[in-house]
Amino acid sequence: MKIKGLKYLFIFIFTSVFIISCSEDNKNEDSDNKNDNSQNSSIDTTDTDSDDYEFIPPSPLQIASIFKKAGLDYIYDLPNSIDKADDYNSKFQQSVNFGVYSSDLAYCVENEKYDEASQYLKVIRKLGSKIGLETVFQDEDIISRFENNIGKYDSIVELLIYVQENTDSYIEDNGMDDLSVIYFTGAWVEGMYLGAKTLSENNNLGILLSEQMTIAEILIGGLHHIKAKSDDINGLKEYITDIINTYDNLESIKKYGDEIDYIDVELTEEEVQLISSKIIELRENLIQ
Amino acid sequence: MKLMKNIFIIAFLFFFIGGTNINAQRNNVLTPYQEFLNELSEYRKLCRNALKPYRYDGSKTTHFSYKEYHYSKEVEIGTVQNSEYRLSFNSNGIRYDKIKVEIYDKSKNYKSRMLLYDKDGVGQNEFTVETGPMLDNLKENKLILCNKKYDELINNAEIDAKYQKISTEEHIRNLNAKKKTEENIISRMRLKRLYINYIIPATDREIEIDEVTGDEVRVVTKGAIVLAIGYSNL
Repeated sequence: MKIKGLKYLFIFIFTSVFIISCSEDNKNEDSDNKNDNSQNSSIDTTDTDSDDYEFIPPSPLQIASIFKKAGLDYIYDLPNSIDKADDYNSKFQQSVNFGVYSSDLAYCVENEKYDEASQYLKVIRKLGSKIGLETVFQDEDIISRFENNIGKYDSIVELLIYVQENTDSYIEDNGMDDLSVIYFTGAWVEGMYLGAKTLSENNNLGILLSEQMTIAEILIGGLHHIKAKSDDINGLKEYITDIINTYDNLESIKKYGDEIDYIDVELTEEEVQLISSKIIELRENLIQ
Repeated sequence: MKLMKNIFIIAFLFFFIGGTNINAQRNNVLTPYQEFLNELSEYRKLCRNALKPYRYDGSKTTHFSYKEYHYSKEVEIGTVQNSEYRLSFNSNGIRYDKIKVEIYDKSKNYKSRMLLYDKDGVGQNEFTVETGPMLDNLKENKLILCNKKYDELINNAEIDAKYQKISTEEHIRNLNAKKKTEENIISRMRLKRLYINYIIPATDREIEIDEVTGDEVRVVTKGAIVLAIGYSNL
C-alpha cells in the first residue's frame, strides 16, 4: 500500500513537472513571438512583410456579371456537379474547385437560379472547411440569410459580396495568399469555361476572351510567386501559360505590337475556337 | 488505497485544468503585433466602406518594414471592360515615416511606363482615387508621344521620301494615315492593368541593447497600408 501510494505520488510529481515545463516553453514561445512580431521589433526579421509582388484579380461575381451582360444563358448541366465535391481529396483539388464552385454560384445567381445557387453555397462551405476557411462560413446565418432572400437578386448579391469580403479578410489575416491564387485561378477558369460554352461571336465572345487574357497573365504572376509549388501547381501554370502564348501568337493580336497591352481585340471565329478549346480542356482537367 | 487513488486523480485534474487555464489566460494577452493586426481588420472595413457606391471587388493589405534604403512594393490590379474603378486606400497602419503612392500603367520592370497618379505623405490618412482620370491621363500622354513622333517624321519627310523613292507628298500622306490609325488605337485604349507602387522611405539605423543577452540588435519598424477596389456596376 505504501509502495503503491509512492507510485501515485511519483506519477503526480512527474506529471506536474511536465505540465509546468510545457507552460514555461509556451511562455518562452510567447515572448519570442512578442519580439518577432511587435510593430517595433528588435529582431531583424521581415518575415511578416508582404511579398514584393502582390495582385488583386477580379472577383468571380464580377466575371459572371460581365458574361451575363454579354448574354450568358443558363444551361443547367454546365456548372460542375456538386456531387463531385466529396471526391476532391487533395488540398490542390479542394482549393481549385472551391474557386470553380464560387464561379458556378455566381453563374446561378446571375441567372437567378436560386435553388441551385443555394446548393453551391453549401458545397463551397463544405470545401471551405477542408482548406482552412471554415471560420468564414462558421456563421450558419449565411445559409439561412441566403434562403430567406431567395428571389431577391440584389440581396443575394449583397450576401455574396459579404462572403467574398470575409474570405478575403480571412485569407489576409492568416497569410493564406497562396491559397487565394489557386482558388482565384479555379474561379477564373470556370468563368471562362461558362462563357466559352454559352456565348458565341454574336455576343462578342472574341472581345471578352481577349480582355480576360490580361487576367490570365496576372494569375500566372500569382502562381509563379507561390512558395511551395507542387506538380499540380506547376501543371496549372504551364497550362495557362500555353493559353497565353497561343493567344499572343494569334494574327489578330500580333499586328498590334506593344499597344495590345491597352486594347481589347475582336478575335476571328477560328481564333475564338482555338482559345475556347484550350480553356475547356483545362477546366475538364481541373474538375476531374 | 482507492481513496488515495481518487485523491491523486482529483489533484491531477486540478493541476491539469488549472495549468490549462493559466495558459489560456496567457494566450489571451495579445502581442503588440496581434493588436496591430486587429486594428488593420478595422481599417479594412473602413477602407471598404469608402468604396461606396462602387461594388466591392477585392482588397490587399501590404505589410512592409522600413529599411536603411528606400524601396518599393508593387500591387497589380486586373481590370475588366471599361468599368470605372475606385481605389480606396487606408494608411492608418503607417505610424512612422509617411510613404508615397504611385500608380502606373506597367510594372516597375518597364522603363517606359507612365505615371498615372501619385500622392506623397501617405500615412495616418484615407483617400480614394478613380480610374477615369487615370485613363484620360494615359490617353493624353500617348497622344503627346504620338504627335511628337510624327512631327519629327514629317520634318524629315523629304530625306526619307528620297530614300524610299517616293515623292515627299506621298510620304507625308502615308505618315498622316499611319498617325490617324495610331490616334484611333489610342482612343480605344483602356487600362487593363494598374500597378500600385508603395515607395517606402529610408530610415536611420536604430540599435538597442537586448535586455536578456546584452547584444546589440537592430530595431525593425513596420507599417501596413490597406487597398480595396470596387467597380461601377452601372
